[in-house]
Amino acid sequence: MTAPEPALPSAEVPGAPVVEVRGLVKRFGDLTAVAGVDLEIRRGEIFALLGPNGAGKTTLISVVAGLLRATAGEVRVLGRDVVRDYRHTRRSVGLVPQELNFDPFLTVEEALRFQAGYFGVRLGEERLVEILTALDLIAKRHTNSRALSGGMKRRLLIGKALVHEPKVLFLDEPTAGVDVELRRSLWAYVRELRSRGTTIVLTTHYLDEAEELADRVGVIDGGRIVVVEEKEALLRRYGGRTFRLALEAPIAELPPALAALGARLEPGGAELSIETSGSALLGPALRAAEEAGLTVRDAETRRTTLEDVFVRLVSGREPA
Amino acid sequence: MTGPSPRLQVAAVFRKEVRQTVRDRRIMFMVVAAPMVQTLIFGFAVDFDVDKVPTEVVDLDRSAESREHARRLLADGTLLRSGESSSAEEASRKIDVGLAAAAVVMPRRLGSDLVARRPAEVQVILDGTDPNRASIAGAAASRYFGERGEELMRERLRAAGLREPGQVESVPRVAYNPRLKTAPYLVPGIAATLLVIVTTLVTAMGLSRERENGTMEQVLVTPIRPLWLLLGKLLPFLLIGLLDMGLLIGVGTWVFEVPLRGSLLVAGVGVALYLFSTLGVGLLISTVSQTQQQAFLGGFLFMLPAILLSGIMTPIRAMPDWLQAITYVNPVRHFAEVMRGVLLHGSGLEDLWFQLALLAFLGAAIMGLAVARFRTQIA
Repeated sequence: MTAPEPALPSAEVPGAPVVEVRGLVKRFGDLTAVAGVDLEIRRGEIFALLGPNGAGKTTLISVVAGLLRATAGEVRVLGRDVVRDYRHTRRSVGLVPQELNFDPFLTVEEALRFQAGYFGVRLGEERLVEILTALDLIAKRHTNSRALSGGMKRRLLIGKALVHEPKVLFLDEPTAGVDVELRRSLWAYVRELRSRGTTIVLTTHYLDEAEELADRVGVIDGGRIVVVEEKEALLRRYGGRTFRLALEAPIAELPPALAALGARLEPGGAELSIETSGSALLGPALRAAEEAGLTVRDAETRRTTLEDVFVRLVSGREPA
Repeated sequence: MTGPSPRLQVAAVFRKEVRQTVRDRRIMFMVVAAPMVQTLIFGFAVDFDVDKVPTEVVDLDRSAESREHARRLLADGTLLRSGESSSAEEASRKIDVGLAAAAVVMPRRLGSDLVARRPAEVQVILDGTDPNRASIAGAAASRYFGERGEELMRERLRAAGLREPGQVESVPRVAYNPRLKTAPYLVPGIAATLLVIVTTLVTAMGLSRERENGTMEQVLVTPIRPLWLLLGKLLPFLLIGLLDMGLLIGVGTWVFEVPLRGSLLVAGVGVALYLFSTLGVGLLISTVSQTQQQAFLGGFLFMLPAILLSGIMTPIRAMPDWLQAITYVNPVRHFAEVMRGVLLHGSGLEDLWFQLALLAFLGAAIMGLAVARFRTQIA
């Protein structure tokens, strides 16, 4: 009789999550940055983690990546505990930090080669050229990091996070402060990485970016997960359209008839918005405005965006 | 998936640290040029030998005897004639304004008194601002006139047909540093001082560099073990310390004629154990520093008392008992003793085992504490 095969770590099982977070708590003295988070990241997806400033996004990512120790709870990457098996989990994780930083005495190539060495990986010429080309840094290969522009430094940070071919890549505000062209090229690269099987976890303040890239969206606020859902399902659940009525003159209070239709007075008092799953409310809204003596200068309808959903969730107007 | 290769990781850390250090001109100046320059400056500028004390001669007698005494008093070079004054008051004024540090006042009738075998008094005025110099100058004058007085007494006894009394004569033999030069004594101690500067300061600054640049985060997300990270980071500075030590010994023996009587192996062991301590201190300082500037200040705060309590500049035995006890936990003290022992005395392991053992113990304790702090910081 042969000994049974040892059980595979849970994430090796097809369909198992690559990142599992259970009851994660992280405190810094009296401040509770993460207050009990349960989360799973699926293999091969792009997961956008959204939240206002100070919500706990970076703290959550930092615990998974190994920069911080959890106060309580369990975090696993590919089935392995990130503390006990850190040598394995960190080998599978790449992190692109939010803040720009660089080694002032190293060239682009040296920075990548040494970073690979820290992961215990010898960076071959082919892989090096592939990364440099994909990030449009091939012409800066021998340039000192100090001489790079901000966008190039950010691309170098992405390169450093990819040298060891991680299975999970965390991007903490990857396009903060970059120009439109670079943003779009980074989006394309993220999609390409996903197509090759890399799981991407993205935090961003640019909700159009999350809407563009993400398969699933998680919203964190005050250290707690507010919602985790497929992006399309979330958008469907919170309405398909938003009507905006621009008023000739600002008003101080929303007329009751419009409030009954679910209208919202935007800051400044010169604009009303109504979210709805269809177009049925447009006519009643215009009539109610006229009956209240309001003059509508302009009317606009647009599809509900992730930004609209996010604002409603974190402002507390909508339960998750 | 097997774990990452420690060899690759340590090599990456080592090569990165070397690359950054070599390209940082500030650091390179501190580790290469500064020790050489400072050794030369210290060796030439610091001199405990006291001679050529500027001395005013007040010859109130103006006789052949008084002039002869003045000539012979100044002949050995301890006292140097800076000028002549017509009175003790004038000589004192010159001492007050720094034109002289001593004055010899030979009274009127000195010559005739000596010929007539009458007692004579010679006054020596000393500037006590530098007690060491004043003591040596006064001793030189006392020695000369004491010997002249004894000579005169023997002449008188011979003239009276009496037997001269027996005398005890001391015959000093100076071992290790026969010419009593300062450099052979000082250079080993200077080497100890400069190694502290090079290894402690530079290590602390080098390790703080990544925290200051913000790149420490990118190190912490890697699977490298804290021990390998430390090894890779400290190895370059250990090698730099060994290289600097070799250069310092070379400069010391070639320029200052410091002898090399003992075993280089024992010296090498001493250097390695000493560097263990100094690197540990540098690492410890880096764990409490957020910037290179803080690391530099921290290193300086360690360095100054360590050097003052090492016996390099002032003898430990002259310190209060409680302070002498504290010097036992100072690695600079023990290393200076090892280097002096090996270079000047030709001491071997049997003579220096105590200092080496203390260096090993201190190195292990300091490095252990530093590593523990480092690990908690990056855990």
